[in-house]
Amino acid sequence: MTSLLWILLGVVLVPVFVASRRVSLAGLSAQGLLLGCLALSSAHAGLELVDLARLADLIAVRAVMVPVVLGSALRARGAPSRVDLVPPSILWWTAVLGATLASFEFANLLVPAAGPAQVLAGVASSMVLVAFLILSTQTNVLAQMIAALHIENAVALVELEETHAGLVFLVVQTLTLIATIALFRWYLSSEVAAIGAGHDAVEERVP
Amino acid sequence: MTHERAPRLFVAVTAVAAVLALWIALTPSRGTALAGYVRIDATAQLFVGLVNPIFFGIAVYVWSRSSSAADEPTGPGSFVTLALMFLASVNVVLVSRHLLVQCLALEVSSIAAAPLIVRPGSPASRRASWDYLLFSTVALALVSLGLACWAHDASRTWHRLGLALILLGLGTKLGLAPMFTWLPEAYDEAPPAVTAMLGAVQFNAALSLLLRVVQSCGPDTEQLVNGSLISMGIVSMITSTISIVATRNLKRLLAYASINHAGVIAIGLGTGKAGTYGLLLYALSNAYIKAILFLTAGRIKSHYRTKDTTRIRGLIRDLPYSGVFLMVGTFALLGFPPFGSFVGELLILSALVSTDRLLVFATFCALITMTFVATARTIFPMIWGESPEKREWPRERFALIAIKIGILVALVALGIYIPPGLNELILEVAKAGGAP
Repeated sequence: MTSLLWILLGVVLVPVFVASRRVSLAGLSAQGLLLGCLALSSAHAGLELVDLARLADLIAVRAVMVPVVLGSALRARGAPSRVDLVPPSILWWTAVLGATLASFEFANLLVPAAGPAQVLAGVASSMVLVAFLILSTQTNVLAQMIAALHIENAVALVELEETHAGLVFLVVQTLTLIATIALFRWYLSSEVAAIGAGHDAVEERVP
Repeated sequence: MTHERAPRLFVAVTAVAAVLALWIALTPSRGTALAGYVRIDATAQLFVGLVNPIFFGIAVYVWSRSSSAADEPTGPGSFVTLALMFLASVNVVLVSRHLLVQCLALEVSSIAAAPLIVRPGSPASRRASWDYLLFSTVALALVSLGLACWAHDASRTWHRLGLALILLGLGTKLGLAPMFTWLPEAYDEAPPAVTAMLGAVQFNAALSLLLRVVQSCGPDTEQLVNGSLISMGIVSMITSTISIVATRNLKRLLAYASINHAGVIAIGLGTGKAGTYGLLLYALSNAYIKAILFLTAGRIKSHYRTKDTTRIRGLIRDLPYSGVFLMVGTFALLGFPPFGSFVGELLILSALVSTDRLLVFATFCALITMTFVATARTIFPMIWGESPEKREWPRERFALIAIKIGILVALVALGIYIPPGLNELILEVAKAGGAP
C-alpha cells in the first residue's frame, strides 16, 4: 500500500513540473487508477457491492471518464497543448516542493507512528496543498479544474480509510461527480477560458 | 415543456412545496424516516418553513417576468427543471440528518444553480458561473474532507483539523472570508431570480448545515469554533464594508451587504448559545431582505438599463412600488427598527457584551456604522434624488407587487410580532444550536 501511495504522490507532482495538457490529463487518469488499486488492496476478503460501487467511481469515472471527457472538449476547441499548473519558475517549483515537505511534517503530527496511515495523511495533504497553490496562481480554467479534481481525489483517498458509506450514498456521490464533470465539459466547450469581457450587459434573460 | 407552460408549472410546484413546508413547520409531530436519513426537528422545521415560501415568491417573479418578455431567447423548460432540482436538493439539505448527505445535496444544488447564472451573450456571467461552481466544488470537497477527518477516532488533532476544514468550506459557501470572491461576481452577473435563490435560499441551506455541525460539537472544540467563526465574521465585515464604500454598482452593493450579513451571522454563531436566538432572527430577516432587494434590483436594472447607482435617481417617482420596496428593504438591511434585523443585531451585540468580547463589540459597532453611512449615501439619492429626465414606465404587474408585499409583511412581522409558534421554534433551535 505504501508504495502505491508514493507513486500517487509522484503522479500528482509530475504534471506540475511538466506543463502539458496530456500529462495533466494522464496524471488525473493515473490518480484514479491508483486510488482504485488502493481500494482493492484495502477491500475485505470478498468484494461486496459497496466495494464494486467504489471501484466504479474510482476507475470508470475518475480514471477513464474524467480525462476522456475533458480531453475531447479541449481537442474540439483546439486548445493549446501547454497547460501551466503553476507559473513556470524556480520560485513556484520550490514552493510546490516546500508544500509537499510541509504536508509530510504535518502528517507526522497527525499520525505519530510511521506506516501507511502516516504516508496516506502526507499524500492527501500534499494533494490539497498543491491544489491550493494551483488555484492561487492560475486563472486558466483547465488548471483550476485539475486543482479541484486533485482535492476531490484527496477526499476519495481519505474516505478509503475513514468513511463507511452505504451503497446508495456512493452511487449518488458518483452521479454528482459525473454531473460536475459534465458541467466542466460545458464550460470548456463554451470557451470560458477566453473571458476578458467586463461587466456588460443591459440585456436580461428571463427571469 | 413549452414556453408558456413551464413557468406556470414552476409556480404550481413551488406553491405545493410552500404549503407542504408550512404544514411541516406548523405541525408539532416530528420524527425520522427513510432509515433515519430524514429527520424533522426544530431546525428543519424552521428553515423548511422559511425557504420554501420565499422560493414560491421567486417562482411568481419568474412567471411574471417570462410572461412580460415572451420573446427572450431562453429555455424556460431547462430553467424550471434546474430550479426545481435546486429546490429539491436544498430541501434534502434541510431535512437530512446525515452530514455527508447534506453536503452532497448542497453540492447538487450548486450544480443545478451554476448554469442558471449564465445569461446568453454575456461572457462575464459565464465566468461568474464558473467561479461559483469552482468555489462550491472546492468548498464542499473541503467539507467532505473535514467530515472524514472529524470521523477519525484517533486523536483530538484529527477532530480539530476536520472541524477547521468544515468551517472553511461552509464559510466559503456562506460567502465568508477568506474565500468569498465568488459571491459578488455571481450575485452581480446572475439574473435577479437566481441571485435571490442563491442569497435567500441556498445561503440558509448552508447555514442550517453549519448549525448542525456546531450543534454536534463538544465543549473541547469551543475555542476553535467560536474563535474561527468570530475571526471569519470580522474579516468578512471589514472587507465588505470597504467594498460597499467603493462600489457604484447596485447589485454588487447588495452582494457586499450579503457578505456583511454573513459576517454578522458568523459572529452571532461564534458567541455561543447567548447569541443564537438573535442570529436566527437575523438570519430569518436576512432571507426576506435579500429576496426583496435582489428582485427589486432586477426590476430597477431592467428599466434604467444600468446598475450604476449614480445614474439612477428619483425612483420613488419613476417606479413608486420598486422605490418603496428598495426603501423599506434598505431600512431593514441597515438594521432599522422595527425590523427583525434590528432586534437580531441588538441581541447579537448584547451577547458579545455578556460574553466579555468587548473588542469584537467595538469593532462590530464601528463596522456597522460605516456600512450604514456608505449604503445610505449610495441608495437614498437613488430613491429620493432628482430624476434627470422624465420617463414613461409600463405599469408594474400585480403578481410581482403582491409577492413583494407578502415578503415585506413577513419582514415587518418578524420585528413587531413573532407568532408564539414561530417563537417557540426559534427558541428550540437556539437551545439546541449555537457553539457550546
